[in-house]
Amino acid sequence: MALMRVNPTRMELSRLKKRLAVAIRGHKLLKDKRDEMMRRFVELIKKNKEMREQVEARLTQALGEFLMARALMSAEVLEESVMYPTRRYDLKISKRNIMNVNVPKIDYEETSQEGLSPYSYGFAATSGELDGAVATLSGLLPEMLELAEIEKTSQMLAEEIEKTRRRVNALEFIMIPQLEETIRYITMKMDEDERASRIRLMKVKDMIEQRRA
Amino acid sequence: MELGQILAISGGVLAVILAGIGSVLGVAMAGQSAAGVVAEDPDKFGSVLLLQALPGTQGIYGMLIAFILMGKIGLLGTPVTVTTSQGWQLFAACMPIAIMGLLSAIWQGKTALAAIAMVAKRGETSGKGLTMTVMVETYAVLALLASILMINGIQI
Amino acid sequence: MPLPSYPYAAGRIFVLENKLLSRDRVERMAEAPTGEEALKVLAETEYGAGIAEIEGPHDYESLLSFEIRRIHSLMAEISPDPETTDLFFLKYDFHNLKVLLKSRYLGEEQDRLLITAGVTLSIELLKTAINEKDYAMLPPYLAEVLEEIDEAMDKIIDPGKMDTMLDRAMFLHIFDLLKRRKNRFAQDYFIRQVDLINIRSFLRIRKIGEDFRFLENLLLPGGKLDEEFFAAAMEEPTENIGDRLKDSEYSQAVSRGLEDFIKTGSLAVYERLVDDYLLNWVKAARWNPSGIEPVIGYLLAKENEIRIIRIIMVGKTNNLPPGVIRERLRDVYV
Repeated sequence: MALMRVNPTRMELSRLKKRLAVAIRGHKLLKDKRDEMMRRFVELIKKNKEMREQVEARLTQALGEFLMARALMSAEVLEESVMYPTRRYDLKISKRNIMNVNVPKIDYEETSQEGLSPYSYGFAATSGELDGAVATLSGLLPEMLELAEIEKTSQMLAEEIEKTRRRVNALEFIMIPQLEETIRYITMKMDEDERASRIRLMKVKDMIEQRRA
Repeated sequence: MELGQILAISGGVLAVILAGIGSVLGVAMAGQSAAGVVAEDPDKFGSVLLLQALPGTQGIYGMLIAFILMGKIGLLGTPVTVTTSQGWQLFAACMPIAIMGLLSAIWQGKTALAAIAMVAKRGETSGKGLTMTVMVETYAVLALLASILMINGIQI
Repeated sequence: MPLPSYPYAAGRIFVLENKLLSRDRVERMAEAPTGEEALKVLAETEYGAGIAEIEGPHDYESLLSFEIRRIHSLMAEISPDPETTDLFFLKYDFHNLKVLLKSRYLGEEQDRLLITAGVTLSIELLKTAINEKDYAMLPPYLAEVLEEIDEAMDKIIDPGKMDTMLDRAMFLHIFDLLKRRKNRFAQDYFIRQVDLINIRSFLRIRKIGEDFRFLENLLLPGGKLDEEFFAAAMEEPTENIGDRLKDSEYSQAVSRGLEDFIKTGSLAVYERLVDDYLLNWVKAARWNPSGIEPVIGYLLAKENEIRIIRIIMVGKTNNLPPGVIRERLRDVYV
């Protein structure tokens, strides 16, 4: 462990001791923060996984239905059927604070015209297999937005956790040991100086006594 | 010229015209279809040509009757006097081939069309198609026979 | 040039029918392990020329457009009654109308969605007419419905209604023209088609849980089954429509399709049975060489073939299980 380059003086020692005390307190606080964030993160991740599976299952179903519709209609007819959306949403993105991390919050508001069905096409030229896909997808938007929110939040939390963890580690394994070592070094050095001066004094005393005798 | 003569000639004329119209319609119908087939598949020319020709016989039968009639009333040699009653008889005797020729040629044309369709789909069935189409011919032949026998039977 | 005669057209068609895909070949395509293999099976048929033009199995839509274009020009050459045979291509024009109208309301061009194969009205003409709201250059029946649509979309732009109004106008025009031309056979065909589409709309409404008011707007005109029939059917459980149609000629397609619909909620089987029914109905009438029947039969057979190829190619390029493909595979004509 590298020592800090310091002058082994008493003043330095008291300065380092103060720093050590701060470091130990900071370490404890950061560790608490990390643990709390971990707890939240695990919760989020669990929810995220559940929702992801749900949304993915329904998306897969919708895409499967689209594929079937695709097999029965030409590409142009299929796209024409869904080219004019009847559902419109306004998205508002704001910030939310979790453990000092700014995470996004997505609010949405439906601005579709009143009285329009989600089926934006005529029924004569389209296959019945299209309806299922459209129905599945049209109910899926709120869940997809929530999923996006949770997923981004957990991503940002994970980054923050990683940062905090590195800080905790830096304190625990570098900063604190270094400070302790340096403090010990200074103490030892000062003890040594003290012993040296005491020996010197004793020697001087001896020499004076010999001369007297 | 006597009325009898006129009636007899009218009978012959009708036999030629009506049977001829039938044949024209039949052959034309089958011919158009045959042209369509050959346009897509020139190898079928031989078999569809035969089918197309079949409704043409009725016209020949009408012609035949007209000749027999002409011989009977002496149009080709010395004219024979034909009474009004005989004239009507000869007129009636021409009717079987006139009417049957007209109808059977048209229907034979339709049968030929169907047979051409069959041949177009399966080249190897041209013999069968021919047989089916020839069946319609039977009744034209029967009418021809009836007309000939009647004309011969009428005493002048 | 005089129009080709009916027997001539029939003669051409009878030979061309030999080149339609056989059941055996369709089976081989369906069993091919990959899209490339399926195309190879197809390349031995009259599709060979089109296959040479495309880039690979994913480009099958170009192949199908190529074929539609070919059939359309064949019809222009041999149809004894082009006005009637063009009715079977009218849906492509109406598709373009829908795209152009929706583009105008969206305010963005979507020209890649326009269909160029088999159209009877030029796209440029439709585009100018719709974008400039100058409908006088279009056939009167189109001008009429387009004006109605503009009026109806004044307050709320409802794309579904737009499509439906156009669909209805198309069938009204079809029946109108066929009545004037006294073409009983084609009329009977479209009556059946309309009825079966209306039954399908009824089932779709049932699935998405809408009421009769919604269905009423969707029903196509000209069928044998009228609004009262569907109004009454809406009051009863879905399966009763099978009983109501028991004595009609649709009974077979409807009863089996309905059974599957109630069990699985999917209309795949019904749609296949309907296509098969219509094709078989035409097939039964095709041996009339002096009428329009063989020509219409061939047209529908080609449409059916295109559907079959599309199903197989979508299946192959997306690795769908063969069972899913097979369930949707239509009958063949020959």
